[in-house]
Amino acid sequence: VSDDKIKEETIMTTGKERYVTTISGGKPDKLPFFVGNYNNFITNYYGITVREYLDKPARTAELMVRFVEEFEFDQFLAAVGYILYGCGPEMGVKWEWAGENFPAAVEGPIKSEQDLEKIQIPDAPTGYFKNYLEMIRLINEAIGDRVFVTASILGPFSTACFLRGVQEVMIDTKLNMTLFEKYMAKCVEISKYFGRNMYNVLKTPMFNEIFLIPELINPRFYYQHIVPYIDKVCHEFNLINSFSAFVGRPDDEASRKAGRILYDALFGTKESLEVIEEALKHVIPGFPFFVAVSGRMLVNWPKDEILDFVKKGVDLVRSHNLYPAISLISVQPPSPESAQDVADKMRRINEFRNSYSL
Amino acid sequence: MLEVSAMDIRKEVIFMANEVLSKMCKAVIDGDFQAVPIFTRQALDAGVSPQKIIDDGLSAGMSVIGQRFKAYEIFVPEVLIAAKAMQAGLEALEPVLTQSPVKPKGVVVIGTVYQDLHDIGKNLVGMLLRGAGIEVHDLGTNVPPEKFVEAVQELKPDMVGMSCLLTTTMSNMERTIKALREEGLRDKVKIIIGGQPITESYAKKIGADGYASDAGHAVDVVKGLLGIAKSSV
Repeated sequence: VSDDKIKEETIMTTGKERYVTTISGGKPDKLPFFVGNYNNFITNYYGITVREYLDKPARTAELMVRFVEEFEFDQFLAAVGYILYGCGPEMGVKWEWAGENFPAAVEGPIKSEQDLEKIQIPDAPTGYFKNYLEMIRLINEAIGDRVFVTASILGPFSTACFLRGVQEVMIDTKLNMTLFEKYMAKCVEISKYFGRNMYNVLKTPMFNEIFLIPELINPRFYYQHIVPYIDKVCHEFNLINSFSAFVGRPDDEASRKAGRILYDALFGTKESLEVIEEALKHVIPGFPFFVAVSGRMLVNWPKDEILDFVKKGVDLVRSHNLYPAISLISVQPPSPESAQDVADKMRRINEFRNSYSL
Repeated sequence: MLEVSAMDIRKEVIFMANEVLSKMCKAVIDGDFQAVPIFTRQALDAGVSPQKIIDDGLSAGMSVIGQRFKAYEIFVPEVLIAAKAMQAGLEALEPVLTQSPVKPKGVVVIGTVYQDLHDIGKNLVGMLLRGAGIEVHDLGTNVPPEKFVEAVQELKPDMVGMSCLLTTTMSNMERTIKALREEGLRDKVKIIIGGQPITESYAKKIGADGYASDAGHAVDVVKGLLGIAKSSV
């Protein structure tokens, strides 16, 4: 009996093993179930305010664990919330609150080169970043043995977008490369600081450039002027910059198109079976192909339509001899009533994945 | 002896004016915000009307930018820098606009809906619409329905454009449309919506007139709804 055969027939018992098997290209015991952004679900479903979510790490961690256990996720991106990732007010970024929603960054502290010196990397985590790490530690302690817990290490480009402003960074790439290079170098150090502290609480984090999307920046510029900074962080911690898979090669329209199709399919920006079919032509070797359920789908589509899409999507992936997974890209209901509806839909998706024969 | 007729001079002037407009258009595309005001002044000196400068110079350049952005040939930085160049041209035109005002092709009020603070998509749409010769009033982010209502009452726009990034805020588009309806304003304006979580079916569901998947397409949809050009809404 070959090693592969043994691997295929191994009975999986935990979500963590299921996840690891899937990303290694093996056959899991059942369809793996992943979740991405869900902060508004926690507040609306479990009835806490956004302030409580951000300010009370023990309470938030407890609710996130409940969330994972109730819906039986195999992989979990712990402690979602942009303000938590390290560029909160503690780094001089101005955040604005809008009603009962999560705050958004509206102004960064870097106005000129002189401001770079004023940004000090703290000796120890403070502010929301400290809460973030505490949430991750508690979640990992509670479920890390059976669920694949990961969390975001903010990359240098996204750090720059917070500290300088996205639009300002974009303009700098055209008009002020000297400043761009200086703050990117600084942001590499800040990103490494995020990474060092992350590894104190979790050994399986992911590198995350939350502001990078395929249509944002020219692939040539990305490879020449952003990737070198990203690599400095990724090499330090042996992390993968998976975003490159979606950018394509500069001056190669076919590879860029393939990257965009994959991005649309895997991140739920265009949810359709046609997009999945097209994306399957460009599958990245060794990367799990998940059927992505977007936030708008969960909130707006009727339950039966979602299940029909997921089932057909999974069948389509299987027909290409791949082992699919189901990924909830965004679970962000706008109200407690909507949260109940979304919870019901997630239960039905989980029932489907439990009953689906691979 | 070479004879130069009035017709020849006129042809020469037209040729020079067209050449300046062509250079202006290219400078907008290249994001050359220093050259654009120079060409604008040269065009004015050559007797070109502000309307023609906007249509055949500045807007023509931004139109190319919009098309290239839609086709993924250029990216956000190129749009921003082209918009900056166009703005520099408009500023150079300002002194003469009081004497010969330019009639906009339409008036649009835009804003990111209530409880949503994201503005890049909305800003890009605003820039490209201005580039298309449309007068844009940007209400900013986190705009409550009543503020959209006030803007429609005061500015009497042809269209309202709403943007959002979050699934948690998209329902505020529906609330805004409801508020406009309650004030008897719904039929006085066209409504276009867009943003990451928005789909065409959602736009239809909440009673919007148009939907755009990105800033490049938004210009086409707005032009279509305003009757400036054909569009698939």
